[in-house]
Amino acid sequence: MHERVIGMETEYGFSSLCAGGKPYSRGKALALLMSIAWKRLCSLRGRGMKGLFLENGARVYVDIGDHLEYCTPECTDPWELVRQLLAGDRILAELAGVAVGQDPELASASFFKTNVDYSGARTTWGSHENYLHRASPLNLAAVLVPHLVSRVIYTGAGGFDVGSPGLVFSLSPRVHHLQGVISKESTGRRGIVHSKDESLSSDGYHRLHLICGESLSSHRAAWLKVATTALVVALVEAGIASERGGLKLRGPLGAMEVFSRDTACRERVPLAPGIELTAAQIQRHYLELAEGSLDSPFMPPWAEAICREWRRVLDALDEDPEGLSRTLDWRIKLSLYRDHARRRGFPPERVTAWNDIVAGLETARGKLGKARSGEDDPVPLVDLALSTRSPIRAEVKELDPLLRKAGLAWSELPSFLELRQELFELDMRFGQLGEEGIFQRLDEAGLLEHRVEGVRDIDRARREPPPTSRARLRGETIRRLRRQRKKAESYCDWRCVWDLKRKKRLDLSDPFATEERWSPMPDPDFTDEPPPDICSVRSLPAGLRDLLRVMRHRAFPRLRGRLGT
Amino acid sequence: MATRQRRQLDERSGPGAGGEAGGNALGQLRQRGDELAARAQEIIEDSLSGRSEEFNRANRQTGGE
Repeated sequence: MHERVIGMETEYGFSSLCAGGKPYSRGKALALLMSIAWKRLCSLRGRGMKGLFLENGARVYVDIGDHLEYCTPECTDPWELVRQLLAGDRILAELAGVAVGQDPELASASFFKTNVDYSGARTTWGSHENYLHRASPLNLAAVLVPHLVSRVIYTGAGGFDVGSPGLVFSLSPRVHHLQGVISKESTGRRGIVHSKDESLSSDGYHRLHLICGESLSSHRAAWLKVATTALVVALVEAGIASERGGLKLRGPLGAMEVFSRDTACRERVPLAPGIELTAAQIQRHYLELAEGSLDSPFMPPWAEAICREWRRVLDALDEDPEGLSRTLDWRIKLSLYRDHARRRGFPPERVTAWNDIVAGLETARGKLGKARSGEDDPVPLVDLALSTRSPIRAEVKELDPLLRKAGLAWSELPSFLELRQELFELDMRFGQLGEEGIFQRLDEAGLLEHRVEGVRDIDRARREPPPTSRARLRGETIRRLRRQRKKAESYCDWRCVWDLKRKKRLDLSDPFATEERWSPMPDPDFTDEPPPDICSVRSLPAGLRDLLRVMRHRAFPRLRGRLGT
Repeated sequence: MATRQRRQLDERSGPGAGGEAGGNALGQLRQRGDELAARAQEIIEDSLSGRSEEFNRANRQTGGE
């Protein structure tokens, strides 16, 4: 049986407030958090990369957009991966709690496992998956696309499409921010498949890096997401699944949008002429390939257990989707949010009717032009609809028949828009880390059925690396060096640990390394690597970057030695 | 409560299907379902700030990867 290396990176939403609710500088809060992490967590600084590597083999740093990112260590089974994801949640929640105690101005610091912004900024951040493989990257991408498009029926985080002025529930809100099928970009034109291929390991390996997925709260959903995708990667690597004999969607992005809006999971999308399949049918194609290869040596030892659950969930989605209303993120949310909307007087059909009305209002506002609609500070829809001086009075009157036909009244519009804001707040709080988070509260009340047998000992995973990949050597070495050395004398990245005092480095380029192999460290070259913890060196003028490189290799170690850091 | 569970219990508690015992089981499950729904409702209502638009604006997030 063949082991596979998998890992994940979670970008967290973050909020920091002063007493009274005023914002506390995000940059200042994150710097405080990283400072606390350096002091409290057994770790080494990254070499040539920001942040810290921890004794469990993970990495934590502040990424683009000021999102604190937790990267799990390399795992070889999805149970361990979910353990490490949950360990990351607990580490960050603890850091936030300590930060609030340290700065009297900081009244609250919260992390959110959410994926889209609900303030109007229309931003997104992600949950990234990593799969080490030896397949042809192009062939892998082609085979993966239909799987990634259709898996949203169990991997979707649930939430709302913020591009709509109404309330449109989405199985996977991040989908509406994707703009391509295959793309090398990660902050602009994001693709279903991210074509970056930085293996961070020895030659011969590729690293599939996916950014189309979402952070999930359900352990089962997270476990299935990474496990099923790892099996598809294995099938491609073995030549069982290939572009030639595989499925090909006629419009992958459009299909993903269709599946994301379909809470009944019944919609079909076109593949070849005359062939249309549902998301579950596409998923069964991959499941059946996996089941047919369970005895093959290239399959990981856990494949059979995954296929069993994969089939169970697909059957449930076909026959009894409500049965998953305590298991999958999007199904849990759909049930909660519909119930909340009903209690506010908005059953699903009323929400749909109001969506049509506000879409009409938004279209009318769009025709006003920037000056009259107030692009920088848009005139509220309520004012546009209800004011006798509204610049779209005529268009509002044109909507009256639609309103009456649906049994609605303009006086209800403020309540509908308030419901929209309430549901946005609930969706944000659903993934909040710590005891205030809705998912955690539901779980502790025994209202959910999402746990995976075998995912346990989360607190140990905060300190201990996975036992079966190079992460074990990294973690053990970090622990030993941190205890033995002054902090400035050792550094780390994914492929190496540097012991500057002994002038030796530990080679971790083999992702399955089991023995420490130390070799003399070459004299430091002046490279383009920025000094640790300075985040924006690449934006500096070339002459200043050269000066920083000299300081890094000569002055910084001496300075750090004097400061005892 | 799962739709399939309800359906199965409805079938079991139909005419000649167990009578009072089946009806009690259905009633207990429905009661349990209502209790769970009520508890979830409490958590949801308790989680709201009462100033949702302000909360959403205050938690504005910049884009990531």
